Order: sequence, then structure tokens, then C-alpha cells
Amino acid sequence: MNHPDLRLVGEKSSKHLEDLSDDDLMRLARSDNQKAFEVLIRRHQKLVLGLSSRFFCDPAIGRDIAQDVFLSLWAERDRYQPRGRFRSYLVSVTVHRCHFVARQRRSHGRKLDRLARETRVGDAGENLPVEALVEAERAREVREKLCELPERMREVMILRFTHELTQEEIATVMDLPLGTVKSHVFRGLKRLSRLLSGDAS
Amino acid sequence: MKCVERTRILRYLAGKLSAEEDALLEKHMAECEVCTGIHDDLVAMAHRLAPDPGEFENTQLADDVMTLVRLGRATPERTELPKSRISGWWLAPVFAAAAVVALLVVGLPYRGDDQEGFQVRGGSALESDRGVSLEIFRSTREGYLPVKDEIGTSDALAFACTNRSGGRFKHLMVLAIDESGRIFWYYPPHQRPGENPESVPIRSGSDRQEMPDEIRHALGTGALRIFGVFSAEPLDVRMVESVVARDLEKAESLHSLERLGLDGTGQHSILLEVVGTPAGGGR
Repeated sequence: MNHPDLRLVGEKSSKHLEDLSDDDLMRLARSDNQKAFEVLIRRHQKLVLGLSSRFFCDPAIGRDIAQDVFLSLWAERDRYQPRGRFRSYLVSVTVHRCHFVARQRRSHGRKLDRLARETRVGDAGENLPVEALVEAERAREVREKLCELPERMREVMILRFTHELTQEEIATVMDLPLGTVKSHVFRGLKRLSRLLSGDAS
Repeated sequence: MKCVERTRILRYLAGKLSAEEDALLEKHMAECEVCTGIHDDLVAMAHRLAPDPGEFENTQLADDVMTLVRLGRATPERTELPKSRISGWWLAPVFAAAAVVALLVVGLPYRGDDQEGFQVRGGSALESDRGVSLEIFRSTREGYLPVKDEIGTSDALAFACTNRSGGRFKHLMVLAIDESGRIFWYYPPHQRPGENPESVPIRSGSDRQEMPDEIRHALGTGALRIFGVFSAEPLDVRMVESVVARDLEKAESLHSLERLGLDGTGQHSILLEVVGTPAGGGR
């Protein structure tokens, strides 16, 4: 759908809004349609939250960043130019925000927090099968080591393996050459497996 | 059968082999348990980055964002105040004299709640701090209330300053530092990565100057020290952040860090407690 002057006449149901494209929803948001914006958030929150949370290995920081990303998206909605690249724009805003916060934290001489509050196994571990416990621990280790990868490599790995974007999609949303994306995936897998085997060289 | 190099399997997984090379490797792995095992281990490792069931399905995030949007507090770091709210906002009837005195210490550095006494860092520092002061207000439905000793994590703050330096100081920065060492910039506005903004200009005189914006940061709970840094020349954010990092390493705690190591500046710092809900329930 591509309506340059999309106007919402009267109250539309949420179901109708959910059928609209990202660009159309942003056009409505530019007309201060909050329901349209809410649909956009719910549609893309997993992407933004997953990217920021995995980037810092910290769900709390990831959540703060995700909130900031959507708030800034609303505050600056007039600046968005609908060109069918909303997801790229959103990833770009999220990545920038992650970099900004990472720089702030580095300038304080602090290490990034490690993944601490784990989701699943944690307190009820004693009731789970051994295989599930082992697998959960392995997952925790991999996600922790992810945070030791260089930022750009980490972002590509998250988009590829957490959000299952194809490499072509990653190249589009991050505005990178496809070859660069493939190189990041190659080096990311290589470095992760070395970190997990204890060989960090 | 000779196994292939591990690197080749990695390149295969990253899509860096040609179609012909892919086919050759797949044929080899069909007959080689060792290489298949390496391949499967790498794939399993990558799959562990996938979300757990329900992970990142945070429906509360959308609700929280929309609440802030509906309250008109959508800007993550800065909101422009309508002029009608600024003019006379400091005359709100709830502006108790006691609260003013507790907060506004004209001519002397504010000591905070710990009553440690002045930390004299040489006569010049104390002298520089005379005549400058910073006031903090938080936005509520009833108007702007002076902040005494606590604010909420999502409170929007407004500031006023007094600059009786006789023309010495012409610029101001307002920043906050929390217990984790995170820095929150109020003035200058600092919203985009790669920026390095400078202090904002202020005038000299005995009158209170109301800074124009109402600003909200996503603060964490705990101690927060807000600094007003008055300077003759503009300072830039990066330089100040490096000074903050250095001072935090030396300081025992945020409570003892009353003044930043910025020579030649006048400063007024205020120690607050950030609580988990909007302070005073004003919303």
C-alpha cells in the first residue's frame, strides 16, 4: 500500500491498522495517531529488544535502550521519510543507541555487565532434566561470549542468529555490502567458537 | 579420508564458498563423521543465540512507551517547554520557603545530606563556587515543584541558575552522575552519538535564570548527583566525561564527589535519591 496522503477518517479498528505497512503506520503517526504508533511498536519490539539486550548481554539495559529508541522514534516522527525502509531505519537507530551507551559505559572504565539474570533455568533448575540444564548453560555461555565480539560483528551475529535475518536482509538494514556481512558472520562464528573453547588468541 | 580444514566449514556456514565448493563440501560431510560433527557443533552454537520461547516478547514495553507518549513525555532526553509554563512557574504556591532554603544555597557549595562539611580543595575552588547556584524542579500536574532530596526514575526536570560571578562565568553545563557512573546530560543537549556539544551560554546577574527545557532521562534508582558547572569558556562534553571518569576512580563514592576536577570553574552539586516511582506521587 502506498498512500502519500494517508488520512485516518474516524476511528479505525486495530485490526485494520495491523494490516497497514510500516510506512503507512508512520505516516499516521506523523498525524499524531498514537494507535498506529502502538501497532508499530508491537510489530517491531522483539527486533529492537533482542538487538539491544543481546548487544549488552543485559535484558535491563536492552529494555531501557528499546524504550529510548521508540520514544525517539515518536519524538522525531516528522523526520522519517517513508521509503519502504522502516526496518533498516529502526535497526540503524537501535545500533546507534547501543553504540552511544556502550561508549558512555566504556568511558567510566567499567566492563559490560555479563548476562546474569537468566531466563529459564535459574531457580527451577532442580526440576528440569539434566539435558535441559546443560543446554541452558551452554546457551548462557554462548550469549555471554557474544558480548566479547567487536560491536559491528556482534550486531551482525545477533541479526543473523537471534533474529534469523538472511544475510541479504542484514546487508540492507545495516547498509553494508553483502560480502562484509558474510565476513562478519565468518569471523563471528570463528571467534565465538574459539572463545568457547578457551582459546582467545 | 582426509578431513577438510575447520575454516572451510566456517566459510561454508557464512556463505563464503562458491556453489561448486559448497557441493564438494557437502559431499565430503556426507561421508565424514568428523567434519559433520564439527559442522553440527558450529550450527548448534549459533542456534544458542536464538531467543528462548517468550524472550523479547515484552508487552510491557509497548504499554510503557505509549503511556509516556500519551502523557506528552515522549522525548527520551528533552522536551521543549511551552512559554506559558515557564513564565511564573517558579511562583507556584507549593513553592515552600523551607524547601527553597534547603535547596538554594547562594554563594556556598551545597553539602548534600551527609553533612561531611566542606571539602576544601584550595581556596580558589571555594572562591569560584561563590555566587553560583543551581536549582532543580520536577514537573508535576500541579506545576513545577522544587526538588528537595529525591526524584522519580522518570521525572522530568527543569532547572534554574543564578550567576553572580560578576561576569566571570558565561557558560553552564548541567549533568547528573549515578552510582553506576552513568552520565546524564541536561545542558548541553546530547542526544546523538558522535556529537561533542559544548556548554550553553548564560548571563551574569543577581536574577534567577530559568533554563528553557523540561528534560527527562530514564534514571536508575539510587544516588544521583547533579552538577551545575559554570565556566568562563565553553567546555565540551567529551572532555568533561573524561574528567568525570577520572574523578570517579579517585572518589570513595558519589557522596564524597562534591566537585569535579575542572579548574577555574564554579560548581554547585546536589545529591539526590532516585526512587522507583515518581517522587511525591505528583502524577
